[in-house]
Amino acid sequence: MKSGKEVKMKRTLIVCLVGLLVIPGFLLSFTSEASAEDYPSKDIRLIIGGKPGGGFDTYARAIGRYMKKYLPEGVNVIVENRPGAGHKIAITMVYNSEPDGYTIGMPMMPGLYFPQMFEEQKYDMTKVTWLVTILKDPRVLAIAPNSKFKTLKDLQQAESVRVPIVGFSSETGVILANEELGIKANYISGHKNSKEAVLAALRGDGDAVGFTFGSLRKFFVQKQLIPVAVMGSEKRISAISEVPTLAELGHAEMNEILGTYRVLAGPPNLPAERTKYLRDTIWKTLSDPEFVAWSKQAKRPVEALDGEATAKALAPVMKGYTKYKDILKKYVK
Amino acid sequence: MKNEEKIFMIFLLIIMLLMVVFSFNYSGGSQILPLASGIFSALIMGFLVTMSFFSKIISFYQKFETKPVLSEDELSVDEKKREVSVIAWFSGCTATIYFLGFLIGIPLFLFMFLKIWAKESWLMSSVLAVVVLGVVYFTFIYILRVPLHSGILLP
Amino acid sequence: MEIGMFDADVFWATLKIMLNARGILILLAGTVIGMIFGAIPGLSGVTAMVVLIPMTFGMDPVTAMLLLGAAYGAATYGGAVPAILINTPGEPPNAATVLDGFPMSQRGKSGTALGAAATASTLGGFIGLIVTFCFIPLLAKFVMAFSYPEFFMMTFFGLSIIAVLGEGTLLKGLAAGGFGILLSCVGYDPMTSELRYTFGIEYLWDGIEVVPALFGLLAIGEVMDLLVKKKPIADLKTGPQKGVGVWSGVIATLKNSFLVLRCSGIGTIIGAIPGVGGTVAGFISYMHAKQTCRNNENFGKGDVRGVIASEAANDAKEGGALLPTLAFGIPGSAGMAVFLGALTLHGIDTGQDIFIANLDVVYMLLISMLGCHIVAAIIGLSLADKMALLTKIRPVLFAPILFLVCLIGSFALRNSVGDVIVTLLFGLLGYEMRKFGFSRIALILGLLLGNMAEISFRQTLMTEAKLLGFFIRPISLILFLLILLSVILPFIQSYRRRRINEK
Repeated sequence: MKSGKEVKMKRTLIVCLVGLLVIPGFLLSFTSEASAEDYPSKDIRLIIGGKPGGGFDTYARAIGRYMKKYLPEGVNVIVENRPGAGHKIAITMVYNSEPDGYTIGMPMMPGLYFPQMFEEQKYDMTKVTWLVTILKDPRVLAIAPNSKFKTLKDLQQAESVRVPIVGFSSETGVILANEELGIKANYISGHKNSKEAVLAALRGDGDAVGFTFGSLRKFFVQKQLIPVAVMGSEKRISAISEVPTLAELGHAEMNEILGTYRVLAGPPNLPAERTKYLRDTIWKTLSDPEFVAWSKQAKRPVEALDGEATAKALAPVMKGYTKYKDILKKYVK
Repeated sequence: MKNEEKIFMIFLLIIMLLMVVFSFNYSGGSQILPLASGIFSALIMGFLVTMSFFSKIISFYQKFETKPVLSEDELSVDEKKREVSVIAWFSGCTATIYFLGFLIGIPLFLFMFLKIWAKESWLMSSVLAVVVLGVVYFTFIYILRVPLHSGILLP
Repeated sequence: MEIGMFDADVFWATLKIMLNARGILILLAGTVIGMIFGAIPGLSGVTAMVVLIPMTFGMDPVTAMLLLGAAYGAATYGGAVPAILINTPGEPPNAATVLDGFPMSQRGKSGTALGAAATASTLGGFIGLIVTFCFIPLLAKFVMAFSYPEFFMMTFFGLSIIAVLGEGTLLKGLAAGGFGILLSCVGYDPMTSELRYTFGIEYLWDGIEVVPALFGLLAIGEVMDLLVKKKPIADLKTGPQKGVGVWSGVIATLKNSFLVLRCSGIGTIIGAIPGVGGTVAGFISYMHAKQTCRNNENFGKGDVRGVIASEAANDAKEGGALLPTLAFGIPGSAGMAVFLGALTLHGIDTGQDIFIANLDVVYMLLISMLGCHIVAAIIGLSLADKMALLTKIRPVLFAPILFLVCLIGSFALRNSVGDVIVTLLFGLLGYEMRKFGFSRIALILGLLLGNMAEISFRQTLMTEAKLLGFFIRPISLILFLLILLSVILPFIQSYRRRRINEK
């Protein structure tokens, strides 16, 4: 009996010893030191503020998939979803990460600039390293079909126009546009997303909405919304070519700053060669014929601007918004 | 149980009252729900707390309810001891995961809990610890590619 | 263009695609994956689809829909399993199933509960899909009639369930519910973006997430109790165990088919209304069952009809969610949103044209969601007895593993370690609440619905009619009266019962 127990104890002791040796060794394999010479030698993290399945996520994962072709063997792009606080959590992570080219993000612009106009944030969009603009999506002001207003003039002359929005910080573009156009808007906030706000307009709870062309395109095609003004684009949009831009209506300066940008960016102070490497690789990815085919099929348009052009485009946009700080202060508390 | 319950209810009542006080900082529309639900909860909780001190009120109110108004069972001494230790172990486990990450916290906690608290054998404790770690690693890291938290203290 | 007109040729052609070997295999794979994801707390049908989408790239859209539809439909049944066995809903919509499902497990009747859940899920899913599909034009008009006052009434309805819950007394339930509503205010004010109750902690900006809190309150609360009392789950001493086992659950469901029909109807309608959230479907259906069934004293203590009601509505709501998705291109639920995304990925336009250009895809979605229920039912029923054994395991082995699963599941939700801490804290709270008879579900309901109710209430105030809006709109008024009725009814019933007893 005793020897039986002894044998058992010995056996379990050996199992434990092996376990104790294996586990740390196993865990140590996760800490890989990337040598400074060959970049990139480990996976690149793409941190986004959207949830799996959403717009940001779809673009991010597609780019990640096709970028692999242009990266060295064994290097992948891993998309990490860190939703929360209107994308602030994601951009804060990217902003504060090591500027070693292994962490990039997809910030929402100009959305993420607004909070820092009013209060110091843990990030500063003016210092970020811009890598590429995937798409500049203009906004469109549109009227609900059952509304008593039919044209832009009607809106401008009205006593009060009900505008369903998601939240004040995400719709600053619409707020500024309405102020500029002289539309007395009564904003109904609290909708979960743009689709719900549009639904509210469709069923008669709202008169007009102002979201990106990408989100409203479907409703224009089905004649469920009537577009009346394009904001944030120098040219008219071909799909709704009868609709004038804000510039044509006499508000060129405002028109320039109202577009929404889907961009890729890295933390500040990213070394020049790594920035160049990322910019070139991403540009190759966006031009890749398979990626282009995906973009067409998935109806996720891409109209890219390279990193330098992006930086050049966004700086005046952020400056422009700062000018209107006082108007926005009323709504953003 | 009576005293423990009183303490718990008073604790909740204090939190509710604090939240009501804070709600006065919020403007206009933001204030409605916190204030309303805070006062509502605090009133009810206040009534429950008061009632627990006066048995006459308890017996009067009991007539309206089919279930006992204040909890009756008493935990045994053993059970009370286990309560404290379980709370300690679970909190410790969470702290370990917070500081050292899931991949260390899981096997460490399982092994130690099974061996020390549950007094299981060396074999059972270590096998389960390793197996669970393996399954978690396989499912979450290999298949789902979820970056499991790796701990504040580690690089 | 007629949407909702049935094209028999396309339907049969699509069905044939599913009925060959490859089709059945994909249906099977999707169903199993969906069930597993649904059953693991922390993962859901939506997660399953997100994981599967990359695998569909090589497939044609119709086959892709077969896989995704099967996974998603099966997940809603999968979520009932942990709800019944360990008091933890696999997905938030299964929360109402714990009300009677878990007490049944505690009385050793988990097999029955699982069988009933499988059957009710299947029937509910069927009814939901068929009703939606047949009545799309009618339902579309009905849905458009729902505006802010109606949304508020729906959430208020959900909250009023607190009044009829089982665990603990009414007063304590109300206190717990009120506290839940109070907690739901933490974070950004949804309308003005003002921060409430965050005290400088960034993690709290988005408020207290329901899922980690739910895991803590329900699962960890139970787990701690198991360890303290050192008894397995199925331990409550009840009378002689008659009618135990899976098939008794199936039979019970079939016996209550009228109930299934009503609850599926409720679920379908709630699912069809975007903006309300399908989680209430199970609860409202449960309350309806409790109010309308005879001999309802045992609701909350293990009445199988509670499980039937919740699960039928739960699966029917997904059928309902198809409505706004197909009719307006506006997703009726998170799952539908992913479906739309997947369809777009495969090049299918998701406006109303889908009924003309890609009718086969629509039908396949329908067929796969129906088919997976059958497969899930078969699998579920055959495994149910084995799964029921879980409730007899020694708690010391089972409890710590479950504890860890909950922590991991909370983390996996949005990659936030703060959620893990929330789970622990609510676990401690849940244990204490359980000890002293405070209804945890009431707190969850408050947490879940508080914010939603607030939004729709304030939105109503923004309309022209302001407060009157609740009462001058017909649907809103009807709902309000229904709520009053539901709340008063139990009091009248218990008063009558006491009079009878006294005689």
